[in-house]
Amino acid sequence: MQPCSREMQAMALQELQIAAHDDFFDQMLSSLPPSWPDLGNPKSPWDLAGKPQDDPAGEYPPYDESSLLASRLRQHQISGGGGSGGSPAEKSMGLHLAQHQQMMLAAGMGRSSPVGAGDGGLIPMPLSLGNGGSSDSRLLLDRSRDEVDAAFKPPNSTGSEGIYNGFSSGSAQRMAQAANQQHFQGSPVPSQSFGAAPPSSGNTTTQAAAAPPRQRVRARRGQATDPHSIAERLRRERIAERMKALQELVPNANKTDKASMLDEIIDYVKFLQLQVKVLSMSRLGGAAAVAPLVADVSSEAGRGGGGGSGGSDSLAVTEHQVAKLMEEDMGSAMQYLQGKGLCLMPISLASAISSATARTTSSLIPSSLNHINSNNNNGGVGAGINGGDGPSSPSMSVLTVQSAMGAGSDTMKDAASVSKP
Amino acid sequence: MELEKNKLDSNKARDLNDSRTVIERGRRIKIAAEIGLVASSKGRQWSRALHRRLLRKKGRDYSNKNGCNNYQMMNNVGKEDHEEGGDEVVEIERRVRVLQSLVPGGEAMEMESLFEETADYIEALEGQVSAMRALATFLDGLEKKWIM
Repeated sequence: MQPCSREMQAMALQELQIAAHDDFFDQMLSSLPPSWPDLGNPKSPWDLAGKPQDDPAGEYPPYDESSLLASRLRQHQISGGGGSGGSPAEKSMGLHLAQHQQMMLAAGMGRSSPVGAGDGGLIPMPLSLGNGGSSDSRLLLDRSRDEVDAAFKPPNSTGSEGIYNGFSSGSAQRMAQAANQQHFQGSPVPSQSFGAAPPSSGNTTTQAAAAPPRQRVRARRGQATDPHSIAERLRRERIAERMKALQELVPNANKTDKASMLDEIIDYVKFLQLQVKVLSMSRLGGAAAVAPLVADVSSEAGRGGGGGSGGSDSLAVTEHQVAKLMEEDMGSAMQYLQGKGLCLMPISLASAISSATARTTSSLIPSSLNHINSNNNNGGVGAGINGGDGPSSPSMSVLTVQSAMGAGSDTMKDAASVSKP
Repeated sequence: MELEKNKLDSNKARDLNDSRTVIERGRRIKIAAEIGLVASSKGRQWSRALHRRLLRKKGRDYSNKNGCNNYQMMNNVGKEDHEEGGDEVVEIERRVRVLQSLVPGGEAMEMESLFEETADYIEALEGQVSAMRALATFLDGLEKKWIM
């Protein structure tokens, strides 16, 4: 998402400097990535509910930095007069289009690079015709609406007359709010939305009547107009997006509950960190150092592989030792494990890893894997870390030890898995 | 003579295998791995925090490790979800705090940026792990002579 918007930014930069309105618009359209919502949609399911409110400029404070930047930009533009041809219009369009979708990025960019001089002012705002596209585009109302008309192909001037309300400097804020009230998925092209506006009679507010008084933004059903709740809602949406992205990264992320999802994420991060630690200790620490350990253990493992119960005794010893240590202090347990070249991880990952490497390694996966599941803990058990999935690393064996810790801590995933490199 | 030499060798071997040296070596390798992590994604908040942590570890004597961190920690921890009520929030916040402690520099992050950083951190860690694993396999192969 980010690289995409940065590209768009660069494009926006160039586009803004183009004098020709039509060309600019066409280019902007053509440069949009195909995955973006349908721009050719002539009908906006959503009508001009996006009227900015008629309250004095200062009443609604800009609720985030992007809108602050936007208002500053607007002031700059308005004070700067007509500027070059359609560029104010274009700039404002880009500005408002950007606001809704890429709030975060905009805020970040806004912080880092405030309004530049002259035409460069809009640059920080990433271009996006995403969610708020249509609403924003409609709100792009500009005093220089003639230019806007000229810019967009089908100027239904009479009908859309009412759309073009002049804006005071504070309007940007209101627009931002209004824009964000309309969480709008489809984003019809600005020109087409202007065209669509007149037909959309029934719904709300801004009728095509000339210079209608600014009305309160009509909220969508079930949503408040309170700017704080809007901000909250947006924030929650953003958080949900991020959670979804995390879900894709973390294995076993099919939990719907936020809390359990967070649990999975935490476990996975811990697991990865542990993996780094163990890898650095057991393998890269010098195979020679580990060799004597390996010698002992592989003999155990050999016995373990040959006769399940016989081998598992020694493993059970280790198991109990670890369990005992875990009861007192996790750190010492970990150190004990590390001293043996072992690691700890949740069982789901363990089974995933062992199944993945079972093909490549000629490992003795002892039957002790079965008695993992016998002791029922909080569902977590261990798996082995593959020290190396090389071409059938001969000394690989996976051994799972299960801790007897049931009642102890609720977050303990209770299994030590041992992999002997 | 030979006995002495053997004794010396065994001493050296004992030193090499001594748990302390192994652990020490492991720690140094882990630091190297963390440096790799930092180098691979410089622009991120967590990588900057990790970098700071590493530098602090190095120059422990003369850098003020306490000064910069405290206000950072106080900063954004409180800014969490106010909307939902009761138990759920507490549960979630507890986990968020745990996550904050895991991700380097996490204490100074809000929920949204925390998640973003976590995603990037997970990716970086996965890359690190696979790189280390490949390296370990290679070294193992070298030693056991399947490769050379």
